[in-house]
Amino acid sequence: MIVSGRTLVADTVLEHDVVVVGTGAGGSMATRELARAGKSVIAVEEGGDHTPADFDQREDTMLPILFQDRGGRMTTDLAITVLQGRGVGGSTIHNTNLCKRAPDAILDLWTQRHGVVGCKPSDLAPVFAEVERDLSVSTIPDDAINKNNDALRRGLAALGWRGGALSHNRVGCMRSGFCELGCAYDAKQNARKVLLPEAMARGATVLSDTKVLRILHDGRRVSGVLAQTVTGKLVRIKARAVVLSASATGSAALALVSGVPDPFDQIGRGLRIHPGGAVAGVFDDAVDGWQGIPQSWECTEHLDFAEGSDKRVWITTAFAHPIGTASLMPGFGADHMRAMRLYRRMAVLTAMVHDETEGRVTASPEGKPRIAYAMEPRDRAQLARGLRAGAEILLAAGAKEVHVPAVRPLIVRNKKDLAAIDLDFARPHSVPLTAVHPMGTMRMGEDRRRSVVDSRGRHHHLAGLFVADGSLFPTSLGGPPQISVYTLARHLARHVADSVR
Amino acid sequence: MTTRRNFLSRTARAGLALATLSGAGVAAFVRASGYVVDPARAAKLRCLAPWQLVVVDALAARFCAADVPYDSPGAPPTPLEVGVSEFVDQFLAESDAEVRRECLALFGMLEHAYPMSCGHLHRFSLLSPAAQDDVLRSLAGSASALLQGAFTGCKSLFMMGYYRDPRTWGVLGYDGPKKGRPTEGWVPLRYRGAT
Repeated sequence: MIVSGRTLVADTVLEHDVVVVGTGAGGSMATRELARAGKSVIAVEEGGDHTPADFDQREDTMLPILFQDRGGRMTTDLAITVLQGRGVGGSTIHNTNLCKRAPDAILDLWTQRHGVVGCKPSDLAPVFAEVERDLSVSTIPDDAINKNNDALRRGLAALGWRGGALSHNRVGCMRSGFCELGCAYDAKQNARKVLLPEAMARGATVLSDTKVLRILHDGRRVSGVLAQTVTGKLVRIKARAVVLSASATGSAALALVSGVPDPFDQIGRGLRIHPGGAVAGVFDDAVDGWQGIPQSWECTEHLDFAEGSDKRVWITTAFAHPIGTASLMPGFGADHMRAMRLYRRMAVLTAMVHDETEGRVTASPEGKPRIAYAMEPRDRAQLARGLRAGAEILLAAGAKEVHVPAVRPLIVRNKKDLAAIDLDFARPHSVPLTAVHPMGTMRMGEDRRRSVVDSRGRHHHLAGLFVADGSLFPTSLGGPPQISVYTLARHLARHVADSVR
Repeated sequence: MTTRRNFLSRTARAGLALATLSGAGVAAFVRASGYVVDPARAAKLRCLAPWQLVVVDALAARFCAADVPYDSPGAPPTPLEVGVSEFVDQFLAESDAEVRRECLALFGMLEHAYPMSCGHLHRFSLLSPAAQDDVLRSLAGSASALLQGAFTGCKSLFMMGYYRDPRTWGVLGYDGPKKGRPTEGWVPLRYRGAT
């Protein structure tokens, strides 16, 4: 049952075996697995419960309800927009359905360098497979590649670069192209649709419109959480275990504001975000990139997961609806509108950096996440590499010119022009950057001095506290994280269940 | 015991406080005076002060300026027609207090302080369009990362206010939401089993 906090008429005390904070990929999976294990579980979600009937395919109405801070969340220096989901289902409601497993090389790195136990590729392969079955994951067929993605495909073919079709979790897709504003046709196999109904059928409760203010504990063991509904009613939930699944920013901020023991000052550190910039190629003919399935093709030519690699850029398509595009295009006023008139003929690519920069999440006194992230030169070099590669792909696909949004806008017409995209050009504040994959901040590992939770997701210093979201990742993933978040949550939920026997 | 040093220190602090208070009073008066606002529009404001509506109107006119004269055939709608300022007012009213406070402070700074740093002696809303563009370009290219970020955030807000309106979509050739429209041959995607 989903209960909105708006319906509570008085302060309330509840009691459950486990309380899960957040209902995105990690929280919903943990909730279902705990319900399957016969535990009394409640998932608390600060946002509302929105269904396909609510999704009107308009940016101005959807961004404020589906995203944190109404779509305006930014790093503290205002350099990077950080898009994170809000509401029952979290980011799985607005994401573009990308389903890629964590690369074996990354899982090996976690094992060998970060002391993670039980998460080797062979350990997780069966769990990945189960999750992919849950979500009906399959590869986008050729006839569903839209013109924007086809530009990427053609460009890669012309250059002889590595790439291919992506896998998604969509069934009955109408190819409307509005995935990032919530699927109005209920074709997205998101956490709200796939996992929570089963969890609730097994007795789990979802409490929406209610924000967890504090984790309750005595310094040694958790005893539950204190939450507040959007109408101001306090909800105290007694529980033997608390699972943090409020994202790499939300989970860390909640742990910090709750005074969770942190003797080695690890909570909030190690933030990675996959910062990404965009390039827009202008073609002779209409691309109409907003039509059809977004992000169905990828370029992996500049992505190598080996430690110390200097190829750390993942490139895919990133077409946006009018407001997103208008925010991205450089300048303002008449010049900006002239550029916007090219909208129908534009194909847009994004270059996301598999980042090594370690940002940090702290919390305001009210518990609001503060995201500090100063991109290091080695990652700026990767960003420059990615923007150059994106522009080269679009030129190879037949673009007449490629716009590289920046404070000093750059238009690339041939390969020689690409040299202008250098380390200095690829500065935050100079190039508009967006991040949609916050990770790290509550890293797992067996070394208490370098991690926050152990390989079972258990907090090192506070009994009964677990983490099940992207905060767990010891490093950047180098690709879309939703499948890995689902998988880790499923993998670790049994340890939560064991703890409340 | 009151020493001479303590006395001077206390006097200096009191003087500074008085100067600040009187300065703030004068600044507040100057800041909010001399603005002509349509009372009907002002009455509907949820968080902007009437003088801030004038500033936001001026910013909207520059951020969302058209590339053709508004009286030419097929010209896009003006920001005023689209209600960009009313959108900004509503958006900020529904944002959290910190975001609202920062945005309102930014509008005040853009109106009263920043033009001077660009060599303009009048407040932003009284400058010519060319001078206003000069101020915004200076903000975008500022050496201060925070000011650059402020430009980006401000621009996003105004672009959202403008391009949210279907009347502006003609500029783009964008056909808008598909929900409720005939599917025109779209066939639900079938899948060939899980990978």
